Amino acid sequence: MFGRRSRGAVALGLAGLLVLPASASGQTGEIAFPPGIWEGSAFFNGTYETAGVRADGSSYENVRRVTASSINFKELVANEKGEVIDGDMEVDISWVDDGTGTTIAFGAVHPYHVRHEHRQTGSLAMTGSARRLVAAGTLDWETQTYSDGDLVEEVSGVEPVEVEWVFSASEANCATVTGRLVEATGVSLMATVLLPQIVFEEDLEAFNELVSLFWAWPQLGDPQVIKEAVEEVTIAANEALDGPPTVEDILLLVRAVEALRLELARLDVCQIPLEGFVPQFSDSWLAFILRDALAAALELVGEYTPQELIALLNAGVRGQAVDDDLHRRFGDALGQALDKAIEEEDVDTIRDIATAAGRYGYSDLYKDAVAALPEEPG
Amino acid sequence: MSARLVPIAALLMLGSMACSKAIRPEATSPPQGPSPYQEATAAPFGQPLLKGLPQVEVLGPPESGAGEVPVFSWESVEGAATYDLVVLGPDGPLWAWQGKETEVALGALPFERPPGMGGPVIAAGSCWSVIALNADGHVVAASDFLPVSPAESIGHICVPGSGGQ
Repeated sequence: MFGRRSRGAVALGLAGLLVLPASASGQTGEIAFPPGIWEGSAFFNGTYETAGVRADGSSYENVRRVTASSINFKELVANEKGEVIDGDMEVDISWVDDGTGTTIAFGAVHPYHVRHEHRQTGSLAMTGSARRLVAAGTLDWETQTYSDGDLVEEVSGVEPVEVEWVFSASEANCATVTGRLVEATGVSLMATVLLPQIVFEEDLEAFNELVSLFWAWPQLGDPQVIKEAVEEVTIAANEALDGPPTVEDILLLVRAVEALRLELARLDVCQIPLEGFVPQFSDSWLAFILRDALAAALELVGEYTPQELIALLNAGVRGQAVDDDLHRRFGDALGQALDKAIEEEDVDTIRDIATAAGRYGYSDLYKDAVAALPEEPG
Repeated sequence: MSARLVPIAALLMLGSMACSKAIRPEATSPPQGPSPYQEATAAPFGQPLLKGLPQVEVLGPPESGAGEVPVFSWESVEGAATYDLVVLGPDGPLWAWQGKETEVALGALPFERPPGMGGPVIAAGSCWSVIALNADGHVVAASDFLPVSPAESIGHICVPGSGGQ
């Protein structure tokens, strides 16, 4: 459906994300795990791309991409102080490191293509608190290396690797705690998540589109139902971030999150509001994913019909992801769509845009669209 | 399941007892000023989104005293493939929803939101509207742009393109 994004477009999109607040919520209460046993899941997705030219004139391009990720919290026990006194993180993540480029030897340019496939598995111990949730321990690390499609090195056995990942919650209520990765040590792609989102240097360009977010919920009710709802969210989130999204991609994600929220509400754990906790809604991890996906869509406005743009705006608002910046950019996109509709005398579309502009507070766009509509008879 | 999880239908029944169906003023384009009927009844009145569009008849919520999590409801529209609801708060878009049903609570939980559970809440001075779309995604009918506030309101008007005033 879409071609690869241009570097400039990606850079602009990411620049927009960089100015977003870390959390969209109006957080005023303490952020901590309410006492009890919790489960959770971490969402790990995206790519890290670098490209450049070496001093000798040879070039390289490297793409690291998460290919599979299953990171689950088990039996995370929080005491009355909100301290995590026990818990495990089950990890099974895979990624590829794909390198292409040229080398120069004896005055001739030689292309190359090397691909490393990595997988880390194991169990990490969890301690800390919602503000600083630490997962530490040893993972098994397997690597295979291919050159031009042929396996050139297969690691015999597995190599142990010590890692420590620190997550920090940005929101908490009695049914959900959510946040993101803030520190990572040890050999793992996880550390790359924390690198700058864009780097431009004389001989290097780097684009970091990796995300690692988590959400946790009380271990109550039917664990299988919650697990399935989380899996639906994960699948939909991966789909939404896999290139510029379709309207259906975004709606699937929003609906999956609503289904998860519904199951969490059914747990009925919030009958007695916990002291010190302020109900939150913005689901910053969801908003983060949605904003990323919508920003990618707005880089390619011409690929969407005006009706699709309006549907994307609606879905983004439904997911609480449309901040001032995205609101303005949707207004600009609808303005372009209105110009085209006026040129094509597409009255239905002008009416659709006028209606959306009226409902979303786009004053000038509303006036322009209304003025472009034909006079009603009589 | 807790007794607190009251079905929407029950909430809606209570809401409809409190407000009667609105009588719609004539559409103008673009609309200016409050509805001439605004002071005549407690039913929700607003300004038309667009001249000439068939009307989506709104059943609730009332424009004030709607509670923090109001239930939005309207009459079905012939030829509608889906409905699209948008709530605009004083600080920008607050919530939106799309679906085939003709009622939905803010946040889309099908039962009363448990206390302490996060979710969107109506801010004073909000505006909302619902439109009907055909299978091609074009607007075929629209409600007025209606005010809604959680508690008693001194009366704000909702102007399309601007929001609550």
